[in-house]
Amino acid sequence: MTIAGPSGALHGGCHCGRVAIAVPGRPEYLNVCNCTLCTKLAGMWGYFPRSQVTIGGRTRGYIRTDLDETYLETHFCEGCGATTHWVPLRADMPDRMGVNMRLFDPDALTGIELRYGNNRDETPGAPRFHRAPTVFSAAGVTA
Amino acid sequence: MTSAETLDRADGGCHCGRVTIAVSRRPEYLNACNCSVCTKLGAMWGYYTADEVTVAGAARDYVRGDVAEPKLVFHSCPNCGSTTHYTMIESGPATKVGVNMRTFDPAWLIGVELRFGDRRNYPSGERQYYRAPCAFDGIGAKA
Repeated sequence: MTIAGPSGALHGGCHCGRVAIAVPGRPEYLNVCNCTLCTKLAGMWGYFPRSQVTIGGRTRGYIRTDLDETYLETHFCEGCGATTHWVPLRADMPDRMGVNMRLFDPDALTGIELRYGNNRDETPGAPRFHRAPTVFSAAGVTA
Repeated sequence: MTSAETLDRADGGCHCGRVTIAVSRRPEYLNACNCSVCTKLGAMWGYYTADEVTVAGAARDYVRGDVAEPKLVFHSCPNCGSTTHYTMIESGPATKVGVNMRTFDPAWLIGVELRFGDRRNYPSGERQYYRAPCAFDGIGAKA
């Protein structure tokens, strides 16, 4: 359940209720990345400065080991398995984290641009996106 | 890794590799259900009978607590958080298993019909749909 507060903040969370997430407002856009990690975790990311996201409850972190360099740690709820967010691992990365917007009321996300980042094909010159952008529709999970 | 040449069998599994799933065939269709569990877990199901699915590794169980009579047990990897499959609480060799096809190579699923079941608005009874079906294009996580 997500409730839009008076400030425009959005409140979401995992399915079992152990993890709650609040973000300051609607993200600028949504991103469905096609890398193997994002595909398997089915993240639909919104990006926010770390200081603007509040996470209540305990999550477990996962750092992939299949790459030479890993930049982020994904988190999930140990109760229901829902992917909740990711945080950057390196200090020189931008002040930005990813929040899985699938954990928020889809109605609150209607109309936001939905992008399809291409990080599966990393050959030089590969397109930045794997599909043309669409607009998120609360009629269902377009992405 | 699977390929389009091996249409009759495939291996999937979570991102870190602790939970693997093998299925005997491509699914008849894919289903991106929009109920609260499927939305938050981001699952895209293929349906099998229990004797068609081989799971290895210890997955964590989740039974939703927000409905009076839950019927399903959702399974995810306790290390990386990937949702791998669901089983029926009362199960036998011929009972249905939902396999999260996001944990398989998308290229193997190109052309499979993708349906959009509307359990958000029609939680029981004959399945209704929130979008028209399409063919899974394998480029990325379309649903």
